[in-house]
This record gives sequence, structure tokens and C-alpha cells, in this order.
Amino acid sequence: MARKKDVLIKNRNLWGWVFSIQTVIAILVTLIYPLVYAGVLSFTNVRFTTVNFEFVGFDNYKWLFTESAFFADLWVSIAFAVVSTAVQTVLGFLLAFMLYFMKGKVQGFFKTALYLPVILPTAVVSSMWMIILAGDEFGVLNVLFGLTDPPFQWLGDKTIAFWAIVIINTWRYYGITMVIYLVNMSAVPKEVVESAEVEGASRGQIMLRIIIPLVMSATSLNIILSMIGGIQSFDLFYLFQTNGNLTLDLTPVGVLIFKTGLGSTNLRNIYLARSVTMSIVLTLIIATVTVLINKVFSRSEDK
Amino acid sequence: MKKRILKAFILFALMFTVCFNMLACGNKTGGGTGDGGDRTRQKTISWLHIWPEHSAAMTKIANNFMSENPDIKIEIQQSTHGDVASYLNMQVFSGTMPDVFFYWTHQISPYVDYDAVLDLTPYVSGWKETFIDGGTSWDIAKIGGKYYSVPFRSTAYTIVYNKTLLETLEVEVPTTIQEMEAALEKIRKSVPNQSFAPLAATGIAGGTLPQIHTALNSFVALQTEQYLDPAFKSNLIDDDATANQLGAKVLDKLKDWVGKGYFGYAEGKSESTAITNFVQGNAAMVLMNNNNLYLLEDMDEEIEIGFMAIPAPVGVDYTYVFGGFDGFSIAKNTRYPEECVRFLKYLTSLNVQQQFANSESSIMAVDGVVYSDPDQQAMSVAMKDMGNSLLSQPDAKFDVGSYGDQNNSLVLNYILGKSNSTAMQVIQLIEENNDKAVADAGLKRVARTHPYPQNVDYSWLEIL
Amino acid sequence: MATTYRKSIKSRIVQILFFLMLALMLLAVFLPLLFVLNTSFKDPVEYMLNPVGINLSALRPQNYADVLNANNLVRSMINSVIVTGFAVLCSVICTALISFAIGVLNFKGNQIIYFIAICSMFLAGEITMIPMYMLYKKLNLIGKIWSLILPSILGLPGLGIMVGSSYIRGVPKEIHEAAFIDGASVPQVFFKIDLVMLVPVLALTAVMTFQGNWGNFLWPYVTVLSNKDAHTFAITLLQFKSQNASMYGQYCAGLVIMTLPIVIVYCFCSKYFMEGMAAGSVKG
Repeated sequence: MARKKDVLIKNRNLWGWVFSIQTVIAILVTLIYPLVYAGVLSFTNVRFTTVNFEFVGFDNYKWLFTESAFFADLWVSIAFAVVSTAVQTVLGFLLAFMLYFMKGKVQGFFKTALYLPVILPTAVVSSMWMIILAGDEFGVLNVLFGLTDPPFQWLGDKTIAFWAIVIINTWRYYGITMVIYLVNMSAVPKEVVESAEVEGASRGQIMLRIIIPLVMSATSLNIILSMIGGIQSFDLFYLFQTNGNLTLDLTPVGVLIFKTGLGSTNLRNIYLARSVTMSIVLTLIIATVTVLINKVFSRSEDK
Repeated sequence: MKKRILKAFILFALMFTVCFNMLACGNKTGGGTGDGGDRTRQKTISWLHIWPEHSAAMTKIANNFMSENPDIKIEIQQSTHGDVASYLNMQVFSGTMPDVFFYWTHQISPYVDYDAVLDLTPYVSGWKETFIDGGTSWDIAKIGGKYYSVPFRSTAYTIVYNKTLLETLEVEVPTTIQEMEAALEKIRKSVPNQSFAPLAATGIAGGTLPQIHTALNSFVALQTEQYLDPAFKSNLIDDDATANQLGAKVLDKLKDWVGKGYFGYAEGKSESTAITNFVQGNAAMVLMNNNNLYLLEDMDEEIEIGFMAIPAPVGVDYTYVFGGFDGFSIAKNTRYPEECVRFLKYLTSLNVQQQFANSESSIMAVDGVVYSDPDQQAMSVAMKDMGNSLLSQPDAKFDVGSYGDQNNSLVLNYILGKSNSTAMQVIQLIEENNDKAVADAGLKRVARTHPYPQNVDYSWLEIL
Repeated sequence: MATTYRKSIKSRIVQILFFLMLALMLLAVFLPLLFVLNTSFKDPVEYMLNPVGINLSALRPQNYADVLNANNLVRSMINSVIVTGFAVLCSVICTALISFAIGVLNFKGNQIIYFIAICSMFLAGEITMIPMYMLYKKLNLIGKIWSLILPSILGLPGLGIMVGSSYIRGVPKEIHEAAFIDGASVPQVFFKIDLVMLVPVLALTAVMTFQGNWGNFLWPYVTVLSNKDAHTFAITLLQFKSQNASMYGQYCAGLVIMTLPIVIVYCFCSKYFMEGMAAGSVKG
């Protein structure tokens, strides 16, 4: 088959490269150049400007593993990612389950409405929740649930703030898991489900025996997406720390990297070489996690 | 296969060279603005300020200057309080600093580090002396013996107190820290309602509660004569048992005050809320920035207010005023240094300073400015100890950095009673962070050599 | 008979239960949004007295005027529109071109490009920021609006490429073969056949790019903060918040203005928004 096409299209390769020239440039500029540059930079001691720098071998990596807050913050990121993923995946699944058994129009309405938070800009989401969670007398939660006499600091307490951000994150992204599950559930051939219904199987049984095994790949995808997003989580935490008063104990690794890099207002705290080193190590960690999760799921799928 | 590997290798080698070039070529691009080649005609100077609220006044100043100096054109750039640091950082990076730029006098060192600021020492004589106290404010930015920033106006925190309320409660206005403690206790007893704050303070990062902590530590530093040690100005002085014990006592003292409710509900409170508390009569005193004076306009006319600094323990000469100066500096590689100096001298001429004080209710840095508003006048008197550069550390070559954020949060948590550690443990953690910050900068801490003075009364730190 | 009767009651109850739970979720989604909408019409002082209540008599649409008149807002909105529009355009063009190239032309090296494009989606964002910043500095673009537009021109829509090429590959070969046998040239095949077929994927790419760009504040903050004329909406809004801490009403009005365009677009094309996520997930 392929050979037939070969003959038909004149100058196939030439055309191919013409069409893909933008992509190739994009790859070089936005992928290969940054990676190589980051790699080179991580072996220097560039703090901010590149005047008078020198190569310092693996010093930055040594720093990362011994003195930096990288692993402490990574722990925050991973804890956040795992909890977030669990909550989102379960919630998304439950909702997809409920929607699956709904009729077309109703299902469509709910689907659209419930997916809404996903499309909101991050700045809007974080600002909105910041007002709600505000710790002074005017914070919405304090007004509604005025439990304690001093206005409660929702973002001040480490545990509560953690769960608050998990909830906000879930609020934002459960739509994605829900839709992915729903689409995969709907892809199960109708005849299989119908014949099961005719034979008297309940919804629960249908779900358990038929649908769940067939949407394993969806679960794997959901988990991977949530985990990657969770480990890299930056926006919510950063905006809450700078504009709200989120306790500094909850600093995910993304915020640490940003503040060590271009995100610090004090020139003396900017250490570009170390920031890049951390992001390199982070990327490797994310890649490893992704591969691992994939392996786990493909093995169970083959069953 | 081999061909592919070779291709990939060449590609990467190419990329490597490109990257290396980017890395190696430093900031060779010239800075400053100015029209190219127009030397015989107008010279353009860019001027950065961060006051959108005063932009009319700034424009007026620029226009007046231009009419008196037709050979210079002023181009105004505007940023904001929160963004100016990031703004300037990017300018430093790309080598395009504004010719005359705003920055806090007491925080100019990082820019000096990166060689971005013009040395003003050649112009200083005759100019510095026109400032309050002979120009001690300039010394805050005297780094390595050279001057880098021209103070313009003050930005400081004073305690504003409700004189009428205090009289009703029969509380005398305190003049020492011991009297302050007694006053707070009396007010608290008279008005036990927790949502009323004897002294409204904000328990947030960078808030006024941490300022009070710094104040108490400063009094200790003055009492122990820490500032006389040669390692003090560079902030490299190492901790020792006595210093740590005193630091722990300060923590416990402040924690005690918070526990007794002297600051009301301080945790998480914002400055605007604290001021609102005061204006509405829910606080007897509030610690606030002098440039927020206009927020008190809503207060009842009948109520008399007064201003004071944080009073010192008996025997210490200086009260504590948290603050510094809004100042202007000149970019190192400006094309027109002389013109920039001319402009700065204009900005700090008595005329301009007086006008600015009148129209913008600010407290200025130059000597001789008269404040017709009695509140402004009272405030400027309260702030008199601010220019005192005894405790400034201009030669510090490092910042505590992110460890500073951690330290601040350790302190805040402890004071607010949210920590399970003892004060001494907190101090140890803080000092560990300080060690790390110093090591990061490639420096070493120096043990204190100046001996502790004998017979100093630290009893004000004891918990009553 | 009895069995089916019992079952239909049970399934009715279950149905109603599901409906209720979904409605509850709906509430959870919309209450915060309605709160913002409500606050956007409140006078800030009124807000402090009564943060949660609705007070129809004291509506203050003035808030919107205040925000629109605020320093620089109109300019930054225009900038956002330009930057985002450009980004959408570029990503759509790129996706179309490369999907065609990979899917149909099947030229030498297309496997590598496909593989790299997919890997690009896994890259941690910060790793590219500093090198790109250095690049833009060398090109003297920091502080100019070009530093916001150029990334789109040089951008790589990984998801679009992945979905687009699979899409094209899924098209039966006969269609293309017939066209080529008839003597059509490559560009003609592209414009007449594949572009039309790719419309759903392109719509998806457009939507994803719009989403990623409209609210993006990190890159603009790092590059164009120094130039007021090049600010985007997100920056202006955040600056507004820090300058006017207690102006809740106006701030919420700003949030509404920022969200409205994308919500309106969403209401009409919700299908395309959701397909984005679903497309890559169905096994295959």
C-alpha cells in the first residue's frame, strides 16, 4: 500500500520538509536549544548576569541533593499530586458513572455545565478562591461559618490549607477526568451493554464486570495527567503565597524553582544555574513516574 | 545508521556552540536611553517612579524642571510598589536601566553588587548637608565607603494613638517600653472584648507584628552594643550564647503580649483592616505607614490623635521607627550623569520638597521642610530617630534570601502561639538558616569581638 | 411481571438519586462563580458589611466602569486579544501543516518529528523559561510585545500534532490516492481535502491554545513587566489587586470581564473544548 503512494506523490520528501519547516524550527528553538542550554547552565555558577561566570562541575547537583529544599518541597508536590489524583479520579469516575446512565440531552447539559471550571483562566480561579478563603472578617467562609472568635485563617494552618488547595484543584480539574471516563465508557459497544441489561444485570454489575475492565487505559491516562499536573503544580500555590497569606510550609517544588530563578524580587536570591538544575532533575523525575505508571497499567491491562 | 548519529552529533555540537555564545557574551549592550547622536540638542533622561497616586505631582515636577532646563527632556516611566523590583531586575539583566530610578535607599545594595548604580560620592559635598541631621540618611546607602542613593522622602511606620480614647480610659501616653506594656495591660483590662485591639497590629509576613519583633531586637542590639562590633556592618557577626538567650527572651516576651491579647486578632490581618479598626474605634492604637495618613481622614473630627515611635527601654537613647527612605539613584551606564545629578539636586531642592510635602502629605528627607498640617508635623517629630544609621548594615554582601522567609515564618508562628518548639529551639533554627545563607554567598561568619557591656538592665524582657 | 415492576421503581429511585447528586455538583461549581458575579455589583463598603448577601436594591454597575477606566486596562485587553489571537492562528497553521505532512506525505524523518512532538508535552515548563529568556534578551526583545508574540510563531502545539496526525492517518487511503491519480498537486490536495477534514482537530487546537494563552501570566510577567504598553490582561488584573486591596467590587468586576469571553465561546462550542481531552484517550 505504501509503495503505491510513493509513486503517486512526486517529491514526497521535499514536500514533507516544506510543510514541516515551522515545526522543525519550533523543535530546535523551543525544545533542543533550551534543553542543551539548561544542561550547560547547570554546570556553571551563573547567578543572574553572565558576566564572570565559571564552570563548577557537579556542584549545583551536589547542592540540590544535600542543602537545598528541593526534596522537602518535592515531598509537598508529590503528596499534593497523589491526593489530588486520587480525589479527582474517583470523583470523575463517579460522575461519569452517573452521567453514563442518563439520557442524551440531560447528559449533554450536565456534561457541559460540569466541565466549566476547566476552562476558567488560572488567575481568575485563584483570585476567586482567595477572596472566599480570606482570613479576615470579610472572608466568605468566615462569614458563613463564623465558627471561631478570631477570624479563622484558612490558609494559615498547614493541613487545612493543603486540603483547601486539593479541593480547589479538584474543583478545577475533575471535569477532565469525568469527560475522559465518559467518552471511554461510551465507546464500549452498545450491544454488549444491552445484552447484559436484557439478561437482568443491575447497573452495578454492568459497571463492575463490563465497563471497568474496558476503561483501564482511561484510568491510566487520567492518573498520569493528574500526577504530572500535580507534581508541577505552581499557579495556585504561588498566587496564594504572594497575594494571600498561604503558609510557607506548603511550597511545592515548582514555586521553589521559580523563586530561585526569575521569580525572586531580590537580585541576591536569584540563582539561575541552580534553578535550571532543579528543573532538569524534576523533569527526569516526572519522566520516570510517567513510565512507571504506564508500566503498571499496561501490565494489568494485558490481564 | 552511522549517518544519523553523525547528523545528530553535528546538530548538538551546533546547539552547544550557540548556547555557549549566549552564555559567554555578557552585558555588552550599552544602557540608558537618550536619542542617538543628538548631542547638540536635547538630552533625554528616563525617570522611573512608583507612585501612580502621585503621578500628577511627578509630572508637574518634570515639567517645571524641563522649563528651567530646556536642554534636558525627562521621560517618565511608572511602575508600582510590588513590581518595581522585578521591573528593575529585568532592566539590569538587559542592560537598559532607567537613567534616574526609584529605589528604597536602605535596600539599594543588590543593585550595587551588580554594578548597576552610579557612584555619587564625587557630588556629595555640599549636597548631603542640606538633609535632615546633616544627611545621616545618606549613610544608610554608604556601601564600601561610597554613596549610591539620594533619599527623597520617608516611608516609615509610626504608632498612631487615639488620644481622646486614652484619656477616657485614664491611660497615660507611654514614653518607654515599660510604660507601653503597662498601658497595653490597662487598656486590655478596661476593654476585655477581644475584637477590640489595644494596639492593632498585623500578624502576616512582612506585617507590623514582625516589625515589633525587630524593634525589640534592635533595642537589645543597642543595649549590647552589637553595632560597635566591626563585623556588624557587613551582617557577618556570628551568634553566641548570650545573644541567643536574649533573642529567645524577646520571642517569649512578644508571645506573651500576643497571648494577653494586646494586639487583638492579629493573625492574618491586613494593614488596611487594622487601619479600619482604628478609624472605627475598635483599636486604641495602630502601627501604620506614614504615607497612609490620608486613610485617617474618615475619623471623627472630635477625636484627637497623636503619633509616636515604638518607645525604647529606659536607658536606650533611640526609639524604633521601622522604615527607610524612598530614594532615587542613577544608573551606572547612563549617558548623561551630570544632567541626572542636576535633576536629582532639583528634586531635593527645598522648594520642590516643600511643594511635594504640601500636595502629597509626605514627610521629606531634606531639612527645613515645614509641615502645616499638625498631624504631619507630629508625625515627622515622632519619626526623628529614623535617619539614625547606627543599626543599618550597608556593607552586607549577602541577603538571607529564602532562608529569610523561613526565619520570618518561624518567628511569626512562634509569636502567634502556633509553634510547638521552645524559643531557644526557634533561635537555633534561625541561626542554622543564617549559617546556610552565609555559606551560600561564599562568606564566613565572624565571632563577636566587642565585649558585652556590664551592668545592663535587661529586666524589661522578663515576663510580668 | 413483578420483577420488572420492582426493578423500574428501583431504577427510578437510582435515577433520581443520580440526578440529585449531579445537581449538587452543579451547585458546587456555580456558587463560587455566582458569588463573584454578585460581588462585582457591590459597592466595596457594602461588601464589607454583607459579603454573602444579595441586595438587589444596591446594585452598582459603576464597578465595571471603574475597572475599565483603570490605568492601562483597555490597552492590556487589546494586547491580550492580539497576543492570544496570534497564538491561536499560529498553532492552527502549524497543526494543519504538520498533520498533513506526517499523515499523508509520510516523508523521511516524520517518525522522529512525531515522537519529539509528543515528548514535548511532558517537559516541565520552567526548564524552558530561563533559556528562552536569555534568547529573547540577546534578541533585545525583553520589554517589547514581540516577546509575547514570537513564542507563538516558534511554538509547538504537541497535542494538536498528536491528534491531528492520528486523525489524518485514520482517513481511508483511497481518498488521497484518488486525488493524486487525478493529477492533483500536493498543495491542492492539502487545501481541498485535508484542511476541510482537519477542521474538528483545528478547532480543538484553537481552543486549547486560547485557553493556555488568555489567562497566562507567568511569561508576560517575566518579560514585559517593564513596558506598560505591552502588558496583558492578567498582569493588569493582578496589579489592580495589589494596589487596591479592599476594592472587592471592582476587582470582581475585572474577573468577570476577564472570564466572560471564554465562557461565551464555551457555551457555543463546548463540544470542541471537551473533545480535546477525550481525543487522545480513546484507545488507539
